Amino acid sequence: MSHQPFETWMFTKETLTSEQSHALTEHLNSCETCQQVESAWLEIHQQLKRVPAITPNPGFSLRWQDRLAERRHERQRRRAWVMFAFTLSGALMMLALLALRAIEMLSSPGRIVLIIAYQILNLIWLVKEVQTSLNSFIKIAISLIPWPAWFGLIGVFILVAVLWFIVVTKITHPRRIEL
Amino acid sequence: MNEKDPELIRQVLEGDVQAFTKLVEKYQEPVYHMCYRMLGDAAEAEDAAQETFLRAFQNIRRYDRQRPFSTWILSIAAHYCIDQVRRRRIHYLSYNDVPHLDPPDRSPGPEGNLVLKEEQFRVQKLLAALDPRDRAALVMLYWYDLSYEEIAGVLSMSVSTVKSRLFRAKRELAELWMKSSLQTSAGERSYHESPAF
Repeated sequence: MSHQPFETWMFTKETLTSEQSHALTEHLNSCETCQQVESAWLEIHQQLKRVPAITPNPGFSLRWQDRLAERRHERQRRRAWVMFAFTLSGALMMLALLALRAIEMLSSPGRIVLIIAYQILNLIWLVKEVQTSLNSFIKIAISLIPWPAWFGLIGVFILVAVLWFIVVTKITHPRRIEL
Repeated sequence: MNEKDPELIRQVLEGDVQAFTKLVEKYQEPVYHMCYRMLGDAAEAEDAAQETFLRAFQNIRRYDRQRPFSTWILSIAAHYCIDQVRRRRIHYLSYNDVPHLDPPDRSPGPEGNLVLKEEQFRVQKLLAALDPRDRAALVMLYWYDLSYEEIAGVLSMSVSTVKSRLFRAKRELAELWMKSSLQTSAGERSYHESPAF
């Protein structure tokens, strides 16, 4: 014997039409299996309606405040440890570099002075070269790039600026409250 | 939503933790009850309810003020509990797990309390057999009087999915009830029968 659609209707009585309700009642009168399911469901339905809401032990909000404070403390401690580890490793690296330099300088101080002077001169020369190349590049670019393309370039520049602004806003105004 | 909620939320957004504590005081019972029905253990329910409020506090800026705060907080609790149930999968419910009850006046005396506790135990045992999402939908329907649309919103699913999940849950509960009734009556029969010599 087919129990459909009656089996479905038994659990969705609130949506049935009067004809469907009538058909369901007739089926239930003739089908023992469905009768058993129906009476089982009715018993559970009554129990679900009867059992009251459960309340937490008194002092729930105080415990919540404690937990929030504990979580904040934990996070601050973790942050402090991370900062300490970064600072310590940075300081150790600097110390190692300084130690290496100190050893070199102590062995041949004259050579070190010459190298520094040479590096400074090199840097000045590099800056001048870059300046000259940039000037010539701009002159060529102005003559080669058609004026509509400049709009594109400006657009890209604006887009990058907007993205930068969004990123800065996201960082300064996080969606999550920091614990 | 209660008229005071938007004002409290505004204060929380301005950094007032005490305002959020007021929200905790107000919604602790429905959230705890949801967690208990989902997890079936008083200590785990307390932990889950506390975690729910912490998550709500952290994510209060994401809260859509067009929605009632009650359904938002229930949504966080339901999703958290569903995750917990999936992680743990098997939980053996003990009679001692049934927590502090606030029975209505209809059950006077210790006998009434005992009956109530047994009913709680039986209901909880039945609920524990359901899929966590089906369980959450059923809990919302019976204890929070939420509509299908509201349940769908809380559980992030369509209304038709809610309906089919509720149908499945009800049918499963009826089958479990029939099985447990058969076992109980068989047990009682063997208890009262005289031993065969």
